[in-house]
Amino acid sequence: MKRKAILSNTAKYIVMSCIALIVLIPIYYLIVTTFKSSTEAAVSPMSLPSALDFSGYKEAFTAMQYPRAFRNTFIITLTSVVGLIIVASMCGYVLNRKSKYKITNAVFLLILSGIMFPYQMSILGLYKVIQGFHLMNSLAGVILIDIAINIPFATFLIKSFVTTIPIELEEAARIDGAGTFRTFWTITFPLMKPIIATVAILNTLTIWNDFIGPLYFLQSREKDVILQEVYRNIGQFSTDWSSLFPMMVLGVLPLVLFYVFMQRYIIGGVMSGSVKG
Amino acid sequence: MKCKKAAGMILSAAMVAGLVGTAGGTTVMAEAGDAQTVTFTCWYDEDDMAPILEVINEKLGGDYVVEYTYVARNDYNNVLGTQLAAGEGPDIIADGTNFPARIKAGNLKEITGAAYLEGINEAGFALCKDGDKVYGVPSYGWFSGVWYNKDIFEENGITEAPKTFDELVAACDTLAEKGVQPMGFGLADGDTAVHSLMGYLENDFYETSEEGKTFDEAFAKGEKKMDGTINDYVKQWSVLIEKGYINDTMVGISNEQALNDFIAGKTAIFNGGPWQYTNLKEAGFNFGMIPNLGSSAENQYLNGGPAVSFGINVNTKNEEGAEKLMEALASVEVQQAFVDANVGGFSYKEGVTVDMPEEYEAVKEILENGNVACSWDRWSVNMPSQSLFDEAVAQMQGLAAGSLTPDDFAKALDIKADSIRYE
Amino acid sequence: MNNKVKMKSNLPYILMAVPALAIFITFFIVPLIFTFTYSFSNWTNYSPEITFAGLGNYKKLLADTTVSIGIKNSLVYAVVNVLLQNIIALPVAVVLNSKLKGRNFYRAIYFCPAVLSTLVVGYLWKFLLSASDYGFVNQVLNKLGLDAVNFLGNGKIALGAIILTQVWQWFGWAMVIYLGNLQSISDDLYEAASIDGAGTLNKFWHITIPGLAPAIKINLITGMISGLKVFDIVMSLTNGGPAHQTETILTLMFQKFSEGNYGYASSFGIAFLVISMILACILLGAFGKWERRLGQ
Repeated sequence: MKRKAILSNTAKYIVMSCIALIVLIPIYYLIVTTFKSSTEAAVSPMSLPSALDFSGYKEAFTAMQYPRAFRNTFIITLTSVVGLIIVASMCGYVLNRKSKYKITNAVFLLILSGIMFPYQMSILGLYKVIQGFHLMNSLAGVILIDIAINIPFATFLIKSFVTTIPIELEEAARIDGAGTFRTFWTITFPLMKPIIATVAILNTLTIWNDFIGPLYFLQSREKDVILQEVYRNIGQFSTDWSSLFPMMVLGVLPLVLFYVFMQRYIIGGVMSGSVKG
Repeated sequence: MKCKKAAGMILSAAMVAGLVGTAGGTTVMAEAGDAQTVTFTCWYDEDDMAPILEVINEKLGGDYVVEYTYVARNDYNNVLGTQLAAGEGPDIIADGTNFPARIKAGNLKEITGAAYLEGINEAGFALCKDGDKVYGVPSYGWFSGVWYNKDIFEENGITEAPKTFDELVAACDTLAEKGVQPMGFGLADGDTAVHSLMGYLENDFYETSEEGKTFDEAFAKGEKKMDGTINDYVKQWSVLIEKGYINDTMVGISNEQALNDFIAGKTAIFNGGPWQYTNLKEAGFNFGMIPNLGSSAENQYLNGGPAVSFGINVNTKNEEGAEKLMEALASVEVQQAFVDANVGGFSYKEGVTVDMPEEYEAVKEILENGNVACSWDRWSVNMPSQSLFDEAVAQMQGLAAGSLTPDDFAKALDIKADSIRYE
Repeated sequence: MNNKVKMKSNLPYILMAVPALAIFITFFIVPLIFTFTYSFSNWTNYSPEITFAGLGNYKKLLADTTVSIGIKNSLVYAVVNVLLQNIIALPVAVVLNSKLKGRNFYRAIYFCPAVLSTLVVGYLWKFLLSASDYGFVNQVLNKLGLDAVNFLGNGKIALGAIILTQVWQWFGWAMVIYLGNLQSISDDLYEAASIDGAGTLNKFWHITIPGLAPAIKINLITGMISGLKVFDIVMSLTNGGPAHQTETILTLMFQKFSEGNYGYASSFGIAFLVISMILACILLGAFGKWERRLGQ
């Protein structure tokens, strides 16, 4: 029996390690190639670089106008995620607590339809709307779009989660004389922490990596995000590897750092909020 | 718990530091010059544009500084199209065969009668005019052709450069027999195979047959179809594919890679144009250019026309700067810089001197005769022709891979044209 | 009277729901209505006047051969991609939920590609899969004595290559969702089954899979919908080529859009809506049936 367990464990390790290797090789390739010339990379793709030369990164940093692009991406992501949490948590809360009304359920269904239909299909209409509000080529426009398209799923998660918060706590606060708003922000909202964390992490990843929104709604270079800079510089498939690969790495670095710090939460169950919902 | 908090704090500290740092960075950038910037976008990369920009900035005399943005050729139509649709875009709009489409869409300011238009000959305005109204100025004249490696040709006993399409195929046969890869195409993103085909058509159909001379105009209007007209010519040209000189492997290779292979001597023939001259010259080997050939060695034609034209964005917020930049772009000095950056290209501007190095021996006469034209410029009277050209490039991949027949190719162009004609 | 009191006591709630609703309706529902209207017009960049075109755009859509390729590709991509991802992710999640040493290490690695932007992943794999001498995957195949494969240049396999890169990138995401769900399956169930003499496989089919129903539902539905709107990876890997053979609904729609063919592009959006709706209905119906069976 014990021998069988050891055998099966060994098999598990072998399979898991093989998968890990397949996952890691492209990432390893991405990183080591940033330090190689085109020829070196072509001849010995898997070897460690012969020298650690950061000049490629320096050039890429300048070519991509990195600080500005980073700031734009950061502002869009942070504002969208915070805005989303504020509006979706209130809305999800109301939809849960007032679910006895028919109208509430109708509204919930309307919002739910947003999960089923990708917004990309109505991008032409969206284009007109954004133009009408004079939000074209502004970060605010992209932020509003990012909030709008993520409202359905976030509201859905929050509405389901609110079920687990006992209503008695709110009633107690009400007896103490707190109004609806205060009760929500001081009593209910803090108890929503787990699901807020899920919403925050999920949306940080998707909004940071959103490409279509900025591509079609931010036209001038001062307004563009990191991915647009990657696209602008690598769009033409070029053979100048020593400048291309650092750009790719700079393109993904911020979120990789985010992941390194948040990794324990992400793989440790934050995402499971979306299952329980 | 402690660890979690620490991680969170480091993360937020890093982000705040990033923000503060970047804020500082941008301010410095903005303070760098007192001169106002004026923007323009094009598909020549920053290195190629650097010497031209230098001349432009000199010409602007310090009041304005040009801010140039490079957008890859494949994406240019997409990127510029969306910008203009949004009422945004650079101060100066640059475009090639789609310039008439920009006029039609009302993206460009009329500049009829502007002083800087003087000295530019009529052919240069081919894409810049709508009736008598002028909307732009040309840069230089492009043409496409076939680069060949003279050393490889001679080593394999080919002493005469091919003068007809059949001779070209024969040369490829000889090279292939000797174990040399004759042609290199990068069809993943390159349009050179379409140039080869359209060059063949220009010589054997458009300029030399009665039907050909009026076909493109009728086609643009929707009166005639590609299918049933060009099929046989495409079939004849497809010999290059049947013999494997253009093949499915090339569909997975980029044009730049194909150019590098040609420079490295791995292939004997590479389709391109004057914009590669400096690149090839620096590599230090013996090369020459022949035109895209048809079946006759007499009275040949090249695919070509005004390369890129410039006009003022109707929505520019910097009208004075845009005027100044237009003036600079149309000046002899800048027009000269464009030709210098494309050795072999010709000019529409009086006073520009053109250098024709010996590598262009075989095309010199054709250029002198003014036998330069291309289909897609003719299509532009009734459609955004870049879209149809792009379609031809996409369908060429299928033709090269053997998944499409010449008939399919012609039909695909008709379907595309049907969906993009103005009227 | 009663209604008024109700209204008054509910007012704060209404106010709390309004911001989300206002943003959602303005930037989601209204654009949808606009797009629907445009799809019946011949609005282009070149004719400033928008005129009614009836079903013209839809007729054009049916006649356009690339459209059927685009729809087929989007469907194939969505279905194959989601199946492969989950077939890998589910067993991996089960293994990494057992008391295996180093399981957190494996989890962290498997999820890693999911934080990379799809655009960059596309550029990276374009190098790896290249048919040129430097293409790493082909170098490996050569060393193993196999012929080089023209992954992105061969229209018959290019879509497959695209799917593989996306399975590589996203199976870790699906795995994490399964892991979260697995924590909620009680150990008692397994113990009871062991006492009844059930084997490992038996337990997997009769306890694990039914217990994972919520995660399977989430993974399949979100995977299917994000599969239908595939865009970034196609743009960076093949740009729809060769010869339109990897074109998807979205790449085609954006192509018409940038060509200035707005009315026509809108009809793509609506066709896209109809397909998504049908798929969503099929999926939801299937899950409803399964859940009812589990409930019995």
